[in-house]
Amino acid sequence: MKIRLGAVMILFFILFSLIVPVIVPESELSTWDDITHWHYNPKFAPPEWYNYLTLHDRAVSEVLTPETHVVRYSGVTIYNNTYMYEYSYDVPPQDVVILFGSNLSDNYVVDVSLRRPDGYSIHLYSNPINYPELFLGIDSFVREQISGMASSYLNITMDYFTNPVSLLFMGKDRKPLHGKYIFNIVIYSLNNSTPPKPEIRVIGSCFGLMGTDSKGRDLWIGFTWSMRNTLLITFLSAGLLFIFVMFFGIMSGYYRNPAGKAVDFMNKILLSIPLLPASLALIFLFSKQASGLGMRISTLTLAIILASLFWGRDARSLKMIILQELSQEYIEAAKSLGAGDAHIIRRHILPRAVVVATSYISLAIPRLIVFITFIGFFGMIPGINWGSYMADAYIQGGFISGAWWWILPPGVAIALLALAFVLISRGVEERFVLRQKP
Amino acid sequence: MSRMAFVLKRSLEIIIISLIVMLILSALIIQVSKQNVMNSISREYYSVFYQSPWMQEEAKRLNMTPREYLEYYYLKKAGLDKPTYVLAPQYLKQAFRIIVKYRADLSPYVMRTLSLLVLSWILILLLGVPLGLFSGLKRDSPIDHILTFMAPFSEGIPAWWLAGILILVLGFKIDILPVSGWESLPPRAGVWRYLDILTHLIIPVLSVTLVYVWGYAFRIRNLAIEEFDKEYVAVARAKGLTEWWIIRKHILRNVFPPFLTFTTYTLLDLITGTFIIDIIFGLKGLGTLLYYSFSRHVALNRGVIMSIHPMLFLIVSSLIVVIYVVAAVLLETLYAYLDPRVGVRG
Repeated sequence: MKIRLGAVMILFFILFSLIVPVIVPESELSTWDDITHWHYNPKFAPPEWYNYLTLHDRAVSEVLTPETHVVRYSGVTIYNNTYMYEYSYDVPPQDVVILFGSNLSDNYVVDVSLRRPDGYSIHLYSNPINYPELFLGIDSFVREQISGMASSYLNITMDYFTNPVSLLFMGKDRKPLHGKYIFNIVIYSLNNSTPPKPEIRVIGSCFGLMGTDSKGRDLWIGFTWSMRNTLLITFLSAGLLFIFVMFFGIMSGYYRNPAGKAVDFMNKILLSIPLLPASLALIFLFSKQASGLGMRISTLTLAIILASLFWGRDARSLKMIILQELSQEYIEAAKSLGAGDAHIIRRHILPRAVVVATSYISLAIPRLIVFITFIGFFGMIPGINWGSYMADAYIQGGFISGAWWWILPPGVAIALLALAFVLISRGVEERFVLRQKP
Repeated sequence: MSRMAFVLKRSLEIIIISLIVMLILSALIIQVSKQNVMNSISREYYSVFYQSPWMQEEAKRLNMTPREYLEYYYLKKAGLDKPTYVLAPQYLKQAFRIIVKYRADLSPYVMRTLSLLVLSWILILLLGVPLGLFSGLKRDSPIDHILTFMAPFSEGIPAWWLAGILILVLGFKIDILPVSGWESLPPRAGVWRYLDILTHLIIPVLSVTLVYVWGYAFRIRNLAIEEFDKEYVAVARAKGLTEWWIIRKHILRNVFPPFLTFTTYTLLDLITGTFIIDIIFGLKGLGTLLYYSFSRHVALNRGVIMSIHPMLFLIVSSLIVVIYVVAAVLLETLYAYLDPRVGVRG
């Protein structure tokens, strides 16, 4: 029962990491380190479903499309774009971006204004279009305008740290002002060319399934791909670890010759090596500095390094079990009947060793995952993984600013995996190990 | 064998093994430095070679290709032209010389790591021993079930994650404890300073303890169960002695020596755990030093480059081993004086 439950959980994780490339295309991950790609996402925003749990609704990101009227007036063509934005949240959006498109020239002059639900109209921007995008929260001209509105209409002095966009959505009573906001972008085309059709993006204050980090990256992409990579490394090294533990455990448990003694000695050294520095140095040694990507090391090499550092504890325990087994009477009987070493190992030692090692390895896997996150914390595992994910959270201040949507998910996933493997280990123990006891 | 001889023999074994470990680490680091030198030989180095006749002459004299000669030259320049097994002891010696020379600068880091380690260890003992004894005494009670489940489960919970949760709960939701740094800035004066440091250490120590306490308690439980099943306990119970008396006089005395051995084995795990906690909370201990011995920097035309500071790395890892050796020797000594069998046999 326990084995089945654990296996189902692990299977779920494996299946999920297998279909990750389908639900989150790899092309999205390739832009992970490209900061400019995440411009239009809110920064440091909790996930969207958080709105259902709290009383303060956060504004959702939206793309507004215009209604355009064209007027010709003595050689100047006027394009009047109107955008409707229904605001019914408690936490205002982080920013509003106007995307003018790419084919710009000096022949267009733009005029941006906003009509609020309380009837107040504010003129935000008027200039030739020089840049393809206009962030209302960042642009200094817009800031001046909003500052004027704040002091004359809202009676608030806007200090340097206030987000100007939050004032746009604030009523005179300093509460969120709900209702219809109408953005008006008028473009004057000085020759007869057609100007681009601007698009307004409201950058909300919550995002997607798992929120964003302080660069605006979609954490869902990072989380799923980290899971895939971490599990790949873990299962590969767990497989190798199983082989190492079996081999060295039987070597040192069964053979009392110099080879067995040598394994014993290696084990002793391994148990007093500080694993963290040793693995960091080894990984550094076997990796290549690749251009553009930082370090590069093959997953197999990484798995071999991890497995060869981790077999000590479990091989020692396996050795104890084998020594116990060797003192049993039926081994003596087999020996007196003339059975060779190979026969005894195959018929009597191996079946029990496999069961015991399975139980050990399923407990070692959670430890491996934790250790991989430790190494990833030092940035020593190439690519994205739960360790680098957490290191990002640490470096960008996710820990000390309490970004729960950033910190909790990997830990919950790791804990669930640990739970699954503990269940399997206990199930195996109950079914095979304890039953054999007299 | 007397107690003294036992302690000496065990200590000698620990020291020899740790020396080998340090030599291995040193060799690894030398290998890394050599690789760094080899990797840095780029196209510009070749142009240096072809512009300097003496280099070409020497290469011809030594019968080397340009690549071989450049490697030979720059390894020699970095003092790495000898085989690794010759260099490893030298490097180690140099690392210890630096430790001794800059002991005034390094000791605060060591002290911070040690205080985190020792405080967590004390808390683990204070919580773990009663928990283990209780669940050993009351087998199959709810607490025993929780412990037997948590012991393997806690190994899969990263300490950094628990730290994150504690920061969220204690530092933000309740907002009573500081969540980063070793002490307030500027430092307080007098006794207040130590109190200040202690309040800064509460969340770090808690997050280390809550991860590692289960394994220790579970060990105590198993050892205690072994003892409770022995006949002399049944005799003592039949005599009408109280459970408390039995635990104090028999169980604890028999449980502690093997528990100390277990502690020695898991000490390195504990140190690794405290390192990550150290980094997350910015405690400026050895973990932070280890973190800073790796650096990521952006190089023009090459992207992000990881680099390692070999000596700092070796110094930190040697200090870890030294802490381990000191602690292990202390624990072995304690073992010799707690286990009555040590002095008697042979």
